[in-house]
Amino acid sequence: MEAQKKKLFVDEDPRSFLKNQHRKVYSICRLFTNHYKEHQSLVANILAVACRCIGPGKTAAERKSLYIKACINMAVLHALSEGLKKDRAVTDKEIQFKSPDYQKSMLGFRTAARGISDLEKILLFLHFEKVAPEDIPGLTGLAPSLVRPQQPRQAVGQRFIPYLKEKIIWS
Amino acid sequence: MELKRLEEHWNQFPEMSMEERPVLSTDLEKMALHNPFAPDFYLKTKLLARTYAGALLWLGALYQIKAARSTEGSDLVQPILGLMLLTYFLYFHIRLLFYADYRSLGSQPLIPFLEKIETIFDRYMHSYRIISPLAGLYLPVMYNLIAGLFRHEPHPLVAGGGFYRWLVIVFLSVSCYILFLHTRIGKYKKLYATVRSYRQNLILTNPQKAV
Repeated sequence: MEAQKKKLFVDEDPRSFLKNQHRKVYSICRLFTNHYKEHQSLVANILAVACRCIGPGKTAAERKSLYIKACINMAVLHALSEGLKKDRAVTDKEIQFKSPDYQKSMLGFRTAARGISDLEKILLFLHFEKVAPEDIPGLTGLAPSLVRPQQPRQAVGQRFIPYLKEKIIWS
Repeated sequence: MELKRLEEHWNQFPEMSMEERPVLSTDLEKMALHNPFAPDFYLKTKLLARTYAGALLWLGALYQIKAARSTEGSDLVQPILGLMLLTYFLYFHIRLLFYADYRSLGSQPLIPFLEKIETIFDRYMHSYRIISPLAGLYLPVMYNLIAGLFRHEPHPLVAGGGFYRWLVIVFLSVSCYILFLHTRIGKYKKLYATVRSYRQNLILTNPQKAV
C-alpha cells in the first residue's frame, strides 16, 4: 500500500503539480513585485524554471524543494534586474495592481513590511509557506547559523562564571 | 509582534484576484517554452554564437595550414598559433556552456545559484582575453583577403613576415582588448559586481532583524 502510494507520488504529472502549487509563486510575488506587469512576468519566469526542473521521476518532496528553489532564485534575479534599472526605494505610488482588493492588501502589507531586506523577504516567504527551519539552509545555501535566530550575546562577566564552571568543575 | 502584524496583513489578501488566479494548462504550456532569464543574465545565445563562429574559424585555420604546407617556403607559425588559440577558444566556450547549464541553473540553492552566475560572468569577461589575440592574428588576414577582393596590393607590413608583422599582431591584440574593455567588458563587470555584492549582503545580513 505504502509502495503504491510512493509510486503514485513519483509518477504525478508535473503539470498537475505546478497547477496545485501556484499559490507559492503568488506568495513570493507579493514580496518582490510592485505592479501588475512585473507580477505577471515573475510568475511566468518562476513557472518556466519550475517546468524545466520538475521532470518526471521525481518524488513529491524533491519537487517541492525544487519548486521553492525556483521561486527564490527567480525572485532574486528579478530583484537584481530591477535594481540595475533603478537605484532608489519603492514608493507607495509605484505599487499598482489591477484589482482594488489586491492593491489595498498590498499597500497594507508593504507598509507593515517597509524597509526589510531581500534576505528577510525570503525568510518571510519560507515562514509563510511553513518551511521547517532545518530545511532553510538546503534551500538557500546559507549557513545554518545565519538562518537560525541567534541567541542574544551575554556580557563577558555574565559568561565567565558558567564557562569556568564548565571547564574546571565538570571536566 | 512585528511578525504577527505581518501575518495579519498577509491573511487579508483576497482569496482570488486578477493577480492571483489559478494557472491554466494553456498558460503553463506557453510559460514552459519561454526563456525565464532576463537578457542580461542569459549568455547562452552569445556563447553558442561564439562557439559556432569559433568552429568555422577553426576549419578555416585548418584549411589555411593545409594551403600553407602545399606552398613552398611559407610561414606556418602564424596559422598554427591561430589554430591553437582557436582550439582553446572552442574548449573554453564549450566548457562554459556545459558549466552554465541554463536548464538546471534555477534549481540550485540560492547562494550556489548566485555564485554560479558570478562565475559565468567572470569567465565570460575572461573570454575577451582570448578573443583579443585572435583578433590580432586574424584582422591582418582579413585585411589581406579584402585587399585581394578589391585587387589592391596587401600592405607590406601585414603581408610580409618577420618582426614587424608580429609587432602589428601584438599592437592589434592590445588595442582590441582596450576596445573591449571600454565597450563590452564594462557592462559585464557591473553585472558581476552587482551579483557579488548582493550575495555578500545576503550572507552578511543578520536575519534577527527580520522576523
